[in-house]
Amino acid sequence: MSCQNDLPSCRDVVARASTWLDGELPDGERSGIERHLSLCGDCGAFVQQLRVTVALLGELPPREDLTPEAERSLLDAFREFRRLEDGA
Amino acid sequence: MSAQGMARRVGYRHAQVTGDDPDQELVARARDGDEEAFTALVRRHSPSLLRVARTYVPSQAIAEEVVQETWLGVLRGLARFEGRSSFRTWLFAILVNRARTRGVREARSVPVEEPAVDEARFTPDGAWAAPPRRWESEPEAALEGAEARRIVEEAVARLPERQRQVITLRDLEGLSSQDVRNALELTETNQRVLLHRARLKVRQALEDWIEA
Repeated sequence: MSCQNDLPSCRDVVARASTWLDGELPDGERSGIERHLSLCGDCGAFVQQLRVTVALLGELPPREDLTPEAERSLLDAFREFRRLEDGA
Repeated sequence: MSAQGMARRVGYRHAQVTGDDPDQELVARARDGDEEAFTALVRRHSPSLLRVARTYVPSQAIAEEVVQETWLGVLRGLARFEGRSSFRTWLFAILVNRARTRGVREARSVPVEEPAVDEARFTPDGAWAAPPRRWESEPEAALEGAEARRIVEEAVARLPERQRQVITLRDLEGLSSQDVRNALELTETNQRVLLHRARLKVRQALEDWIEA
């Protein structure tokens, strides 16, 4: 799209895309970005892709658990803590 | 992700909005000496703790040690925990503190300067030189499939350390920017820049895969 004087450029929009997606863009900047997005299909597509990316990132489950030995050791510590506290 | 895992994640995100702490009951019971409650907390949070620890330390074994030290720190502090933040926020703050202490310091102390966006994709006046290809032409199932997740995981694993740390805490674990700012003692600007660069790289990995 042609660059209008009062609108941020596509490069500006891309640079601020994360902050905008997170709802952390100051009001003054937000309207310009949103107006640009309403007019520019390329930037709209890019921001949507970023949104999809963040959604995918949020769907990755952590894979590892603590080993049973580590868990047992923590339970021992918990019991020891209780014992010390109860004795105090 | 399992239905239970998804429900848990949704619960935490919802809780951030409503202010309820999903761990509140378990924490209260653990504080009263309930072993089962403590074990439940350990099992609920340790996979996430391990994943975050692993972005700071060079091995899974050390990550385990860091997570154990974290839980010991929780035990020591539990009586004093006042619930001003959520339990999970407090937990991650302890973890990051421990992990940073144990972590291998990057050889380079001066941050590498990188543009926030790939300059080559824009003309001098800031318009797209090569516009992003639309992903809607892809079958929807592709982006929801296991392969897409693998691409994303690998992209995260390849990130520079600090970007990986921030994106793991923010986008994989769902911590708020304020939580991360407090735990990492990063300025808001630094955190935003690191997160944005990380996300752009992951998006690019997906784009490369789609276009291949």
